[in-house]
Amino acid sequence: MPLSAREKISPPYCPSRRAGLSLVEILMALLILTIAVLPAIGALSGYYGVATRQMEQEMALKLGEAVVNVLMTANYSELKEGAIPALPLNIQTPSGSFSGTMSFAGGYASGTPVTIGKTKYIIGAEVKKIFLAQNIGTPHNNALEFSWISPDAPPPPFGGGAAPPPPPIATYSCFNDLICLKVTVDFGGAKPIELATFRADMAR
Amino acid sequence: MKKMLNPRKGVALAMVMVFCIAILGLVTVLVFNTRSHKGSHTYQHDTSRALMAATAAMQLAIYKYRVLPSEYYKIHTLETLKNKGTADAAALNALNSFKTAWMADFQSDNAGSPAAKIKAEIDKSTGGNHSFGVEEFSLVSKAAQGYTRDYLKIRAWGASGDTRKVLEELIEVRISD
Repeated sequence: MPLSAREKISPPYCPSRRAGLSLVEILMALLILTIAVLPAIGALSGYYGVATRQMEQEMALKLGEAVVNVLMTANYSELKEGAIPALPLNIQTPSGSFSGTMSFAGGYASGTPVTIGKTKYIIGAEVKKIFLAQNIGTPHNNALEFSWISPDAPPPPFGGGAAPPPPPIATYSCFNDLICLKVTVDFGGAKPIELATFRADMAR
Repeated sequence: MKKMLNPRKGVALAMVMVFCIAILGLVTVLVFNTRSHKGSHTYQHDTSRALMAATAAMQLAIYKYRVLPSEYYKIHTLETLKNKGTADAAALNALNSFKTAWMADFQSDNAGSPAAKIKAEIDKSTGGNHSFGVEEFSLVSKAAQGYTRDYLKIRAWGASGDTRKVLEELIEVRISD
């Protein structure tokens, strides 16, 4: 049966010709989209988790530094003797603020909870006497010793060449302790933040 | 012939493929961003540790100055002569020797030095790998109307991992006449 002129030139608009193909296309499209979207959701979730963890770690580091700064300005004698009173902690951040105290027992402060935003940070601190004062009468092995060299340079060796460096003529140690300050901030991460530094007596 | 006349066939699949490529591009960007964020975790931690190490170096320098103030003033006197241009060769040699000996105690890389002992303690306490030292230790005077004030100028550095931080402080000292 010959086709009419209209059938020859017009595109196949008839719905019955496209219905099956569209269903297959849509199903395939859904399958491909699902395959593509699932890792995207996973990546987005991972990205959000990493960003949150980074924010918490940054806050934990700032808290740790703040507590170290508080300990650096606290009374040296009280720190040394382990008679530290409750130290005030006033922290203000864009995520929230905290006002409270850090209580010490001896040279230790453990488990001071600080909640900023939705995260709880547990701050611990430790004051240790590592390098102790030393007097001439009571020498020990836990003192930091500094040496001083002879003001008179030794003569140059026979046959020329550079003179050797002058030998130390004495060692000196301090009459104050050099104390170690250690701060730990646990924020539920894999590993708590640990910062440590030393402090000398600045009063005199 | 009829198939070729259908101009919209396969458009949906082509568009889905385009979307998929866009989504995969987004995933790739996110994955690389996440990796770089993980690197910045370490960087932040190292920065704080480097600052703590630099603080320890600063405190050690002050501690030594308290132990050996008169020895430091010998260096300062020789340095003043050098700056005025009145130091002879012997004074310059003595200055170099004294200064080297003075600064050697502050470098954590010098085995057996007080700084190395402090570094070992910090490493033990935090489980990290720190290093620190003092770049400059000098006495500066500020004279104004009616008073003269002296300051210790200490520039200390600290490092942890690949991060290095420098601290500089002026500490007022009172020199007895």
